[in-house]
Amino acid sequence: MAPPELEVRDEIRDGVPLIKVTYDGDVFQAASSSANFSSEILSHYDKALGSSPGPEVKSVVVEIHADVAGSSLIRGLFDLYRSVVRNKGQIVCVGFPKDYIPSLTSLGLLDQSHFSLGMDTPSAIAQLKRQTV
Amino acid sequence: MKDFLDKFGLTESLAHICPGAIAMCALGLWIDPSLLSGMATEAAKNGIIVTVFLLISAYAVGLTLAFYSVVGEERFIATPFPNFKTFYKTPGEFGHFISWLWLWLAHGFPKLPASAPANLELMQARIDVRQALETFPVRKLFSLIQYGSDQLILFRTFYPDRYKERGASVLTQAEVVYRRVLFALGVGQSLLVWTALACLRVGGYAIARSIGNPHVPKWLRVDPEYLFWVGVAGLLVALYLHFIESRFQSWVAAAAIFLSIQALCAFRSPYLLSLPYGLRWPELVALGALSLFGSFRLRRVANRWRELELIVTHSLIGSMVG
Repeated sequence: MAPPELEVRDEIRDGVPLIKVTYDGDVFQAASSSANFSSEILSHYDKALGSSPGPEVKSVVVEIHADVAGSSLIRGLFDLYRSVVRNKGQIVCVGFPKDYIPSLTSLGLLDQSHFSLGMDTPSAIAQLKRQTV
Repeated sequence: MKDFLDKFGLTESLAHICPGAIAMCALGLWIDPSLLSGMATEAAKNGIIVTVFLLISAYAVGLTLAFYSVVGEERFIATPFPNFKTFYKTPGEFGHFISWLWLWLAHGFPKLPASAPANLELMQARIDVRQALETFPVRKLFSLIQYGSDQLILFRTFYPDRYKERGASVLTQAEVVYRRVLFALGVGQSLLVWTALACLRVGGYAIARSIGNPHVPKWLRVDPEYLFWVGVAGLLVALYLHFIESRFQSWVAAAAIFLSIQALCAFRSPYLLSLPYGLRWPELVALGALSLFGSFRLRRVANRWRELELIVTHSLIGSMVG
């Protein structure tokens, strides 16, 4: 069970899985925040893939509603990236806190062809649909 | 020899003195040879004092170059590649492109072709180090320690406090590799200083030739008085950006300083039309190109060593768990 500061939801929009992650900055103070982020994001991705009717694509849009980021979120995104790449899909991340983008680039995620940052959710979904069709 | 250097802590000093000395030699292109011979005579009289002064200066220049290049490399890694699709639509994208171009020139290195599994392993190691850091009392400083090299250094700083002798040999080895990174980056930057000064000299020569030369097209001719005031204004803008505004736009300041020095030299320098030490212009261009090539190669090597440093440091996490 995730702590109340972290809320993860999933839906299928236009045949593309969309995961919405909402949290406040205090969530990173919890010692177990890393495991929570990873397990919550991954379980919602798996749930979205297994939903009926299933999505048309294995790629995913992650929508983040927060002002700060932490290593727990980044590990969550990285674990999701591993799963999505295994499914030969892509991740587009929307709303990643701008001040923390260097932590993504220094990790190397932004250099990977299967990971990108999107401007907004509709265009990210359209991008993934276009690349898959 | 290695033990002797290690015992007196000279390895680190040499790692900074060498790049500093190379960079200082580059300045020789701008010094009047007669002045240098005068200095040599003076040095012969006060040998030890001059030698010590030169060594300290080389150490200081090398130290500055090394840390400037470490920060620059991190900034290059952390600056995303410009998005050319939104080049004309997004405000500030052009400035971002210029900023990225400057960072690439001064600190960039070619991306190493690595397999997807190797990339995943490296990213996994970076994340593990980042998360291991959170077991130390620095959790709230995430926004300050987003750069990979800072994380590695902080991790190695906090590690012995809690785990004492565990992994001491690994820590030593990681420090050795880190010194190699600093050395390669420092020499890379000092070679870049060679390139920059060679370009400056060639550019200054081109400008000097254009002043009042009837063979140069009219629109290319420069009024020396005008050029002088442009130089002064550029220098003031650069200083303003750097010190007063406290938001250092490196490419603006660098361009301003470059133009200022060009302008001032074109107007003032009596040595512009001839090169010292019997150098000829094609040789200078070749020297600049070779230095640039060497700088890129060294940055590539430094990046490889940085990966080795990460892997060695990452192995300490196992001893934390065990």
